[in-house]
Amino acid sequence: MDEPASALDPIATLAIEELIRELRQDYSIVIVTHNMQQVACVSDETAFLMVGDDRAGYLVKHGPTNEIFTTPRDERTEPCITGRFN
Amino acid sequence: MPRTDFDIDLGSSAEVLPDDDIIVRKRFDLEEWCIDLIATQRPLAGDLRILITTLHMSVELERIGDYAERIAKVSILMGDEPPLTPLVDIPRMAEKATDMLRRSLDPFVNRDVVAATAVCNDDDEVDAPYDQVYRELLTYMMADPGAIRRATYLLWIAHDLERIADRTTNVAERVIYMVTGKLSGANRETVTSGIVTHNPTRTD
Repeated sequence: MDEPASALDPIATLAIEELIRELRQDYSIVIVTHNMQQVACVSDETAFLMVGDDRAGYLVKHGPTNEIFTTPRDERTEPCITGRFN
Repeated sequence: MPRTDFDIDLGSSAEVLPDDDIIVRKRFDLEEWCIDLIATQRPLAGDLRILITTLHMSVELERIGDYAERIAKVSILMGDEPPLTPLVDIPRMAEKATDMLRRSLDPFVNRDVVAATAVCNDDDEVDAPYDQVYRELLTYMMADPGAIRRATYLLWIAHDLERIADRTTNVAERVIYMVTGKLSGANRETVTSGIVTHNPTRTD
């Protein structure tokens, strides 16, 4: 899902997130989003990708969502999840 | 009528000691769980207050476990030696403090402000006998320096019971906060007392 709740109102966003929670019981779901709150709420695993000098979308960090959002080990991850940039 | 038939049970004291490690582990498990929920679910309002209350309560309960451990250690130090005075106020404090502790946890589950407030109001019933014990033991120590060691043991136990009651009051205050959103300070004026600095085991 690419930015699944982009530009949606809170009620529609909640419906999407509940659908993701329901589907994840049986399916693996990959979401691409800049919405950190959504990542934290609905995902089990988080991958953080950045734009580099030579190419876009290189992987900085991947791990359990609760670890990424409480104790990010890569110094580039924290500014992103705290909203200093995304 | 207060009980006066309390015995020092060294076996029970020794059994208490490993329990503290279990409590410490549970406290950190709870803390980690709350931090994960705050970080990933972004709780607000009542949900946030539940988690903040849980965090505070886990700390308070862990400290209460520390006091229980210290009381057990002092009991072991006392050994089979008879207490300096008949145990009247200290068992009364122990009964009241444990009663308050039991009654402070149900209001958390039931969101019962009235019951939590009643726990806060009972704190004086432990503070008053503590002051009595302190004065009595001080008198013994001044009259007979040879009694200082045994008096100090009892003073440590009384102090730790007083702290258990205070920590229990903190738990009840946090329950009130969880339900109402208001931070009450029923315990604030009784937490610190100059006399408690006599206890070298004190860490807070």
